[in-house]
Amino acid sequence: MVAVEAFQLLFVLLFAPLLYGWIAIVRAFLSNRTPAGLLQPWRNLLRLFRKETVLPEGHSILFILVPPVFFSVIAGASLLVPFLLVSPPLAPVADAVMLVGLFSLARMTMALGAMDVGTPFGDMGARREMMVAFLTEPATLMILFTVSLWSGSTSIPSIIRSLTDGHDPFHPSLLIAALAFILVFLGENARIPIDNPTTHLELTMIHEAMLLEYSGPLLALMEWGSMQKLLLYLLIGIDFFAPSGMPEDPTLLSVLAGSGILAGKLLLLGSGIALIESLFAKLRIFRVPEFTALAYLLSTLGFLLHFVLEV
Amino acid sequence: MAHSGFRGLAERSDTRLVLAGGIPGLPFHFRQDPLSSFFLLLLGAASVGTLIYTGGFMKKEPPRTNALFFFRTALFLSSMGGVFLADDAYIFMLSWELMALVSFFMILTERKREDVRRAGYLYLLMAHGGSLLILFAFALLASHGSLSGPHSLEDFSFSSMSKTLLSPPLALLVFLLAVLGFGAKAGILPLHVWLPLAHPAAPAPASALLSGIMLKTAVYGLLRILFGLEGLPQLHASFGIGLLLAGGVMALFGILYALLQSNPKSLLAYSSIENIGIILLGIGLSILYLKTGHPAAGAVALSAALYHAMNHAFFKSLLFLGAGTMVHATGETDLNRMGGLLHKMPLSGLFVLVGVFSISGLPPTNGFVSEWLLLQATLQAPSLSGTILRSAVLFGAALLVLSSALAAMGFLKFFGIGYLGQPRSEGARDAHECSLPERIGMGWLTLGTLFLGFFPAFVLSGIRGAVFSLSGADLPSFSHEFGWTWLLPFPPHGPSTSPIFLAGLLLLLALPVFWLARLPGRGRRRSVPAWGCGYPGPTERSQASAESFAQPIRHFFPVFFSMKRHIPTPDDPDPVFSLAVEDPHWPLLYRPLFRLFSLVAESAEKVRTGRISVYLVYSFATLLFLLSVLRWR
Repeated sequence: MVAVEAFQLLFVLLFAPLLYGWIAIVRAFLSNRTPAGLLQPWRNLLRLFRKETVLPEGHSILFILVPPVFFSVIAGASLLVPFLLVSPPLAPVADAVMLVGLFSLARMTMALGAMDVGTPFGDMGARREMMVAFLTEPATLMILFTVSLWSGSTSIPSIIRSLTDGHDPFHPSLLIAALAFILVFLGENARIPIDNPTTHLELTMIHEAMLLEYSGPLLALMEWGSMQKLLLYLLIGIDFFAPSGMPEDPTLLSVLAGSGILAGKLLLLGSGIALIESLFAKLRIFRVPEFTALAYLLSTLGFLLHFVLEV
Repeated sequence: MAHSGFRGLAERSDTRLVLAGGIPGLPFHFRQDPLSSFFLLLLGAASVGTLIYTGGFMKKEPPRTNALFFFRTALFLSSMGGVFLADDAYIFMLSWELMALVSFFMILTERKREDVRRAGYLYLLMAHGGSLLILFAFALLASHGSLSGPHSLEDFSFSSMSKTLLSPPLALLVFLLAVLGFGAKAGILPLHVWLPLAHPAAPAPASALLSGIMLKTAVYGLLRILFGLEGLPQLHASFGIGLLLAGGVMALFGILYALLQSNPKSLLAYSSIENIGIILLGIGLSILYLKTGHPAAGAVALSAALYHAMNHAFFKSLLFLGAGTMVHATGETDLNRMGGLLHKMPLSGLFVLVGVFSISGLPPTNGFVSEWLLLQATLQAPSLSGTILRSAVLFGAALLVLSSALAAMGFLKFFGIGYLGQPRSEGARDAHECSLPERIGMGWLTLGTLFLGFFPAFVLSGIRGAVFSLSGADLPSFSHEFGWTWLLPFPPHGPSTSPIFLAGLLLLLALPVFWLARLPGRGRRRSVPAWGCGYPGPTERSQASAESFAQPIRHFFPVFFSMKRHIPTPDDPDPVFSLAVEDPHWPLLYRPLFRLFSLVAESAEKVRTGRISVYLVYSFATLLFLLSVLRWR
């Protein structure tokens, strides 16, 4: 049982940068460029860990504490989300509401770190991040409520079981919730219509603005944590909307087979993200609340639809 | 001084006693049942921190002011104790009015300021209007639904009132009177206007007591009348829907206005409106579930409301005291003139940070626990029958999650602008850490907040008695060993979560990560100026202002604000951009009301001619009229 948890943590730690690399490869392929390779994010991280730490003048102790706390909150979440097994041993510690809470804890610590030095960019990034989050977070919770309606419980293993029992394969409310989840995913993880992860353009950046003052190992922790967050969001999405093929019993063979299927799903989803990022342009920052409000409304609609059509 | 007495109260209040003492003629009934005990515990435990803090806060005042303030505080606390213990309408109203009067004088501590006097007067007006409505509700209950009035004074005791059977329209009337009457004290939506004016006007310990504890007397009164006196059988599920939606709208409105405030104490006052909204939402939800035959879900919703009342007493007192130290240390009342306080006041800053995390509902703090309970209760919506009931619960849940996400933004602003960044004024540059009693008082509240977050099972076992006495429904619980580390399992036999395990897990993970962060940087660390877009020497003026946080909110929720914006034209010789945001209740409701009132008063003035013969005619006519009314019967 401990082995399963350790394997989960290792999987997320190792695989998250690879997924970033995979998305970059597909994006490069779609725009006829030569990709930098699957291992490029790993190379960046290792280089950052070797560098010295450059601290801005006038920082407080909070500035140094934030990256480790951020990283461990996200890594803690990777122990709690079921993906190798339907019910990993630590899953009862946190239900899905707690997981959403953990992500907002991570976001809040990151925003506090960004505001610590008091540079215009840090403040701007923190403010914009909260502007995106105040609608995506309730949307996430509403999506979660929609999928938990079948089991009546917010624990992820019981949600997965109630959805794989397969009485009725098609639910309109699930479809709408899945749409809302895609929007939330893009907003929460600073992907293209909301934020461009590869830009440092002052007027538009959100996520990068918050990290501007970090360097060396501290920056590496923040980046690595954000990569894990993206992977975890995909894993939660798989749990909610495509859980088939996840093994129940903890034998080595079934876990290996399950992780194979999982890797396939992740590569597919990664390509999907790259496709979205290649097809759409970044939204103006003032239009962002409209995008996230759409996610919030869709998720509430999904919930309502369940009552109207499916009970 | 007063500390020891109230500490005693805190400890004693776990005993469940039924006392009936009395004076001949009209006896005073006192009773301590589980609900009173719960609120007494809240009063005692949260006021200890504030009282210790007051010792340091008022140190520099002259002894006369100091003694007067302590006297009022003691009177205030004992009158609130009287409200919680009262078992007849007479002693309840006596304590209630005493509480209103003393708090009026506490708000008027700085009575030389015009705005403080105005705020105090408005508060007094609202408080008395509210008590009038409560009095009506009591009268209806005491008269047993008949119009001839109560038969004896004994009818005013709570035990006799609880036997009253009311017809449905009268039951609705009592519900409305109670909600509006206690709502005036709790800041329910159209009656909230005094709250954001009065709380910032009072000195910090007084606002901590007002917001942390006095608002809970209204919650207590509402619970007492609805569940205790009117009784569950006479309520209707639609009352629950009304309270649920009113609470949800109140929560959203409160937090939106909190986000707009630049004065830290106004921000906290508006956020009190949000929190009371959440508590009302819980109460409404529990009425809804209990009346439709779902006792378990109703009990969870009710315990979430009580849990949140307890949480709010702790973290809001803590934050008000923190705001008091910010104002004291810098001599400024505007967030835009603070900043960088974490360097100067690390310990009190840390305490305030705990409060900020709790009020934003982030795990593993106490704000998350009550939010979790409330969300679990809303998730039982599919078991209700009828789309209207379900949708009401759904909209309640949607408003709840939206306002708690906004709360995180609002309190990031509070902490980020106030404590982080660089000092924005001379006062903030010369700030100093607060005195030892102040730190101890805040530390006590911080410990209480953390305890409420980490050990929810203990708190819930205390709440269970109160919930059972109100609703007759019991909470589910874990029977196995280590049950105390978990939140209650809900739905019954279902899974749960454990804040303390989570905190331990995070700590366990954080340790190696700290090592990872330090590993290569050991000895290789240097400081450079922060990046200011290439300009040398970034100034404190280039930091974000408190208003900048509010800007996206103002754009996104325009219906909630009445805004007056002045944008200068290009050829304006004196270009000034100005923006004024006002609570729409003032232009839409209160000012027309006041205008109507003065119009009526002025026309009534016309009958006053100053000639004694005319006045004699008036009194003669009145006499005739009254006599004819009597004869009519």
